[in-house]
Amino acid sequence: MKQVDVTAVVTVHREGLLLKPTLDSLSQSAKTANLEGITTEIMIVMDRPDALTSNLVERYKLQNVNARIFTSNTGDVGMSRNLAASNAMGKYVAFLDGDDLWGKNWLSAAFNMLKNEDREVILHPEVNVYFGRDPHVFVHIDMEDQRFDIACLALTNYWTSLCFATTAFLLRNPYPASNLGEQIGFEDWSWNLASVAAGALHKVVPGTGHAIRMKHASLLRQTSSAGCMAAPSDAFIQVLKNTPQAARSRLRIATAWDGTGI
Amino acid sequence: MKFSKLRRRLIAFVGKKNNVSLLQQSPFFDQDWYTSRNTDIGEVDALVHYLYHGGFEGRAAGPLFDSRRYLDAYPDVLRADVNPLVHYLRSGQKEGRTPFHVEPHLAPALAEVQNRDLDLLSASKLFDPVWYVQTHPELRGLDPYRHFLAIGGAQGLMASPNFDCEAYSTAYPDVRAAKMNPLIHYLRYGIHEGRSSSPSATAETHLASASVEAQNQDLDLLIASELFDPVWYVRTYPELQGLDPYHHCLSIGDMEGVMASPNFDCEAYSAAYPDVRAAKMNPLIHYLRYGMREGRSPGLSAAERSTVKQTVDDVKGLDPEIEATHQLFPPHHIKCSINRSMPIGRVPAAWRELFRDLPGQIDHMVFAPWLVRGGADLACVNIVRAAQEARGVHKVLLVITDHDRLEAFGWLPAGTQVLVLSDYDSTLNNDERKQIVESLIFALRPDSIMNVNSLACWTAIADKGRALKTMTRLYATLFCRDLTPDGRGAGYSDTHFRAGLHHLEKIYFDTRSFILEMAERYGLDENLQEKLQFLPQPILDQLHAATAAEKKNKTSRRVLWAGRFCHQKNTELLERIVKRMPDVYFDVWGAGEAARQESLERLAEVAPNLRLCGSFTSFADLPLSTYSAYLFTSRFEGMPTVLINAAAAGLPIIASSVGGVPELVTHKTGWLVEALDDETAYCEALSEVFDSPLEVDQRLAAMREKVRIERSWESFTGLLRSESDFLQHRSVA
Repeated sequence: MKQVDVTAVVTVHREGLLLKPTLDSLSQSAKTANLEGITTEIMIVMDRPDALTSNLVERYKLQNVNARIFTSNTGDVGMSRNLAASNAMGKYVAFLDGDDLWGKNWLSAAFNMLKNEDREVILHPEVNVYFGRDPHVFVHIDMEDQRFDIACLALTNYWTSLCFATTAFLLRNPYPASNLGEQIGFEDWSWNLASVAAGALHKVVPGTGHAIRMKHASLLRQTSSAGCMAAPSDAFIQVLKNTPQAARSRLRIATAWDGTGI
Repeated sequence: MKFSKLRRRLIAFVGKKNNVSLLQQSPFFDQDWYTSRNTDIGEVDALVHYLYHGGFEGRAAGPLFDSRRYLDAYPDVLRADVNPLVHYLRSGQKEGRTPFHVEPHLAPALAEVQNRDLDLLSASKLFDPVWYVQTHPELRGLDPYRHFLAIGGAQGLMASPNFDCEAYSTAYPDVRAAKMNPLIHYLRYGIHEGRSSSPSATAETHLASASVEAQNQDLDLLIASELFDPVWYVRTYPELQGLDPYHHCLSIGDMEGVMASPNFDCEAYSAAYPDVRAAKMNPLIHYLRYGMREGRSPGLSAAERSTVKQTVDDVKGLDPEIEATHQLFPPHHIKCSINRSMPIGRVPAAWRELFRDLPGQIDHMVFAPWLVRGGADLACVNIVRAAQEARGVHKVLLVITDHDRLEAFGWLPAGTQVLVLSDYDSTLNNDERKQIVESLIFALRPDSIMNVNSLACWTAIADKGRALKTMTRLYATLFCRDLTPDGRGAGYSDTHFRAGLHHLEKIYFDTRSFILEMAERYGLDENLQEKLQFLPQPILDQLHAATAAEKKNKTSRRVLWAGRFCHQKNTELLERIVKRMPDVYFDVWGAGEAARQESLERLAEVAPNLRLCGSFTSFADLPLSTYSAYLFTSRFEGMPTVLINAAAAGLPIIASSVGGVPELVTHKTGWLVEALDDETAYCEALSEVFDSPLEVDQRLAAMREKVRIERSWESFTGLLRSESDFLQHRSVA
């Protein structure tokens, strides 16, 4: 199988007409990368798609004959990403959800940053522009930024799922299955935690951005309304084991019987 | 911008008060006083601490304003969840509410001032003591000189028709800032400096000069900050050529549409924080003075803003919904809120601090609401101790979730690790505490957790139980139904049991009767009933010793009653028994509701056989050897610790047959009274205790044996270590 630099993956479910802008942004970013001599393959993983979505993918395939299409029937976007990684020809994999968009320079800038990197690094865009309902900007933190603190990764997810990573790392560290029945969701948060526990460094690519669609009924909202938590990880225990307790700890330690009696 | 317009805005800027400046200018907030009396706030600015935390906690703002008394006096303020002093200054003052003074601190704090200033005031015609009292009739009986020096001047009261303190302070903000009594300032300094004693005509002039002074303070902040770039500022706004960019930046109030530098967009900051916009405060000054310390974001950097713009330009032609998101496009794009990976707020701030203090590896966590000297608290300590014996002191973490009361901290074995959530932020509400409980379990992943009456933990189990049980094994304890005064259930067995049961491995009960009651009440099948585990609390070591001790006064007719004076304990019945047995002496230990206390005191005045002995902190410390019997009169109970203690101490027990009591006190181990509210039955039982020493010996022996078998430490820990119980070691997959 011929090796390419980057496999650009779109995970698709039932986006319907929202899919077209996503595919266009993917083509645009791949084209920018190609102009810099970076080879790319385009892969679309459809999980339980509806007819309109399938139809759009088929039409895209007609215009992009090298695009590879896979289907799955798991209802779990994490499993779709695992399927993509296991079939990727690229040294690197970049994920895009079927209703979001990449900025033009995402693939090229991420590749250029990672190509000389010896460490296990996962890349994220510098900013995420949320459009539609409740528009806002979400700025990613780099783990090497002085302001980075792992503690609050227990409270909230620091990075979106649209990451750029080596295929090898993704194969060694597949996405965990969501289990909404057991209140375990947030596949991206869970994977971010697992990857940190596996020793990966999450970094941002300066000057890059993604556009994220705010929908009325997103998976994120379903997950939140189900009272879900991320899959647990050893990331925090590892940090605590390797970090001496704060000099001015407020953890109280009982000394001895104070004589007050019971 | 013309100078006149600038000047108008300058005056408006100074004139509009936000909460910070409101407190700064108020005589009721005393920065030095607050800092000296609240050493726990560390480096935090006293005003910021009081405004956002201390006021809500009831801490006094200064000698002139007691937040706790204000909140207690005005429950509507408490319910409104506003800072009490802000409330008083904004509306309470106008509504005629009282700014309660901190009496114990007031007198010494002002004694020195009064001594120095009293002569000055007495000699001045600008203070009219007769007019002062006539104008403020509520001061009758007080020394008007001392009141004016201590309180009235600071409150801005008129000293006489010829001296208006409020007007003087308004005209001369340096006086207000110095928190000096305005008339004393005038008499000592102002008169020599040429200031006016009735300065309203010159207010505007002084206002302008005051603003310059304020700007000077802010100027230092601006100069020191990289977020203001004077060169860039003048280049970007060429109409400012020839003006001082620093003073311009400070003079234009809310800085609408202005950027202080490529890295600080004033309008974006105001848009992100509506309180800043509402206060009409200079956003950059707000950020430098307060926002930075409060963890607020200064907004996008120039580089980030450029990336946002580039991203929008890249994709706007691909999706019509992007083009229709007007906030993303100039001139509105700055209206987007900015979120960052690192969250801000009370929970993240507390969690960040708390996380640094966490031990590395915890096998068992015990959650409790507080640690006071109650039965549930004793159960909590026993469970902690059992866990420590099983795994080691350093593998067990006790988390105090709901309050900061720790009266029973001394009960804990040496080395016990205790995390008190209120140590990190005492103002956290239950939802926030619940979130921290969830995060603790999520981050530490202990083998098991035990909830001993923690509301935050019960709520976490009810809300996130399915997820949490994939991370640890969940256990809880229940002791008895808590009832409201009108008899409705209000404890966890009513509010959280049903939602939590499916997620919990087991719930431990101190009585079998309560297990049966719960099974019947909720219609539990056999599988669910298996989750309800009887776990008798062990007797105490020091009472073991007492059991073995020979009683000195077996034949005395002195009876012990110990407990809280409340409906549950049935003090009415106790009073009737005391009256019926005048030849028996009753020592009553405890305290409680005022009406019951008074009733008992009235009886004690006429009944020499009743002695009220006051509160006790430890059952073991009572003069147990002087008593011949223990009388227990409760209307409802679980398994009261005090009864277990009495049994362990070898006292004959006469007890009402309620709750789990019959599981300990039977007709073989003591005197169980079925006629719960009938004093005759209790009197007959007491008489038998006094008149039948052989019977007493037999029943005490039976009680000793029962306690030894059922309530030994070994049986307690053995049960907790059993298969599928709290201390069972989880096998590593």
